[in-house]
Amino acid sequence: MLDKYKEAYDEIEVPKELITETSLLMKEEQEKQAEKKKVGFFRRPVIFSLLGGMAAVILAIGILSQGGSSGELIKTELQAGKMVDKVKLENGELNFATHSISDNDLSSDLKSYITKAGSDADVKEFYGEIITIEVPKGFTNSQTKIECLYDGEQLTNVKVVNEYTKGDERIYVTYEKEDEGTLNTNSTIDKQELALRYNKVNEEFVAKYIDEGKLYSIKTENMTQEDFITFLVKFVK
Amino acid sequence: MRKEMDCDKILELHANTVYKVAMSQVKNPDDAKDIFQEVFLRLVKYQKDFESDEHLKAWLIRVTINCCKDFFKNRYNANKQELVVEIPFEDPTHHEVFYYVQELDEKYKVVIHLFYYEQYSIADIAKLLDTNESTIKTRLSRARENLKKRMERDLDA
Repeated sequence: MLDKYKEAYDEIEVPKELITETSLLMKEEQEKQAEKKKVGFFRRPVIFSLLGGMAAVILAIGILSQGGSSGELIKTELQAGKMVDKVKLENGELNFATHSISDNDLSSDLKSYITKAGSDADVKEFYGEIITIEVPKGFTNSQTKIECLYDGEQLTNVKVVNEYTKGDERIYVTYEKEDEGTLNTNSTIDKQELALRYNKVNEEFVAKYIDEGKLYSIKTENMTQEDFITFLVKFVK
Repeated sequence: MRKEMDCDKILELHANTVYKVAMSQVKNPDDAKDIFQEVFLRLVKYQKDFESDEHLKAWLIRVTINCCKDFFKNRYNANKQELVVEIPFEDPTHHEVFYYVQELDEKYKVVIHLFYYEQYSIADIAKLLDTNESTIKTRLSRARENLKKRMERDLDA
């Protein structure tokens, strides 16, 4: 039967008017983007003068708060649309080139377990508390999924997946009880060891680390390397 | 300076892939059209650099799958039923294969489509969907079993 699958789909044609309409929409969007860039360019002197005036204030606040912006935290120059394999931070180093997280680490192998949807009550009972994760700035918490893993009757793990969205950008923050005790780490932030991975095909960044018996996973989609690092550094801290 | 993308050339090369991935997931052409436009608009908005047409194609497939997921999520949240539109096929066996596969779960449909239509290898599908090869093999085999069972059930009926 499936040998006919390709033939069946070959019979379906993309409507010509859809291609024409989409082409127009794409070109309109291109013009909008170009317009934005132009506006950005011509307003630069104004912005620079305003920024110049504010620079001293910002600097003073930065020194006082000891917080630091992403620009100060990231010591390696990053470029939009390009991946930098090794990124030096003020307080660590991130390696994106080595795929230290294996495919098995990335996908939960739950073959021998039964998974059931859980609730806040399951999280509280299992961990003794509900871990509050601050919603990243500009994002909304689009969903929280709680999965309870049972080995027979025994509840062995509770996995909480928070999904945050901002337009097409997505951040998934997951935590679960850490079982293996090891993770092939390749990066550090503030002495916290992490395993990082960049999936070029899917444009995804993944970071995993273990803290106080919990395995945390952060996965982002459609985010730049800089935005991922900025979020990760704040989250790990 | 970034070279402006040639929209018509990109559509000429990849419209078929994107539209058919969308059609393999949703059950009517109007929804597939909305997803199609959303995918290509995202391409213009993101202004990404692609190393090759294959890299661009893989990105477009991935974004199409994500847009389909969003579509299902929104439909679920709005508590709406998906409108099924009958597509006329010249060959009745094509009609049969199309609608049997349409009834499968999304995770099976996407693997079937990438394997049988796009003719990606299991290893390539695993990379594209960021999962293990063994998971893809299992999904393919379960999809085939499922189809066989449904056909047998319909024959018995």
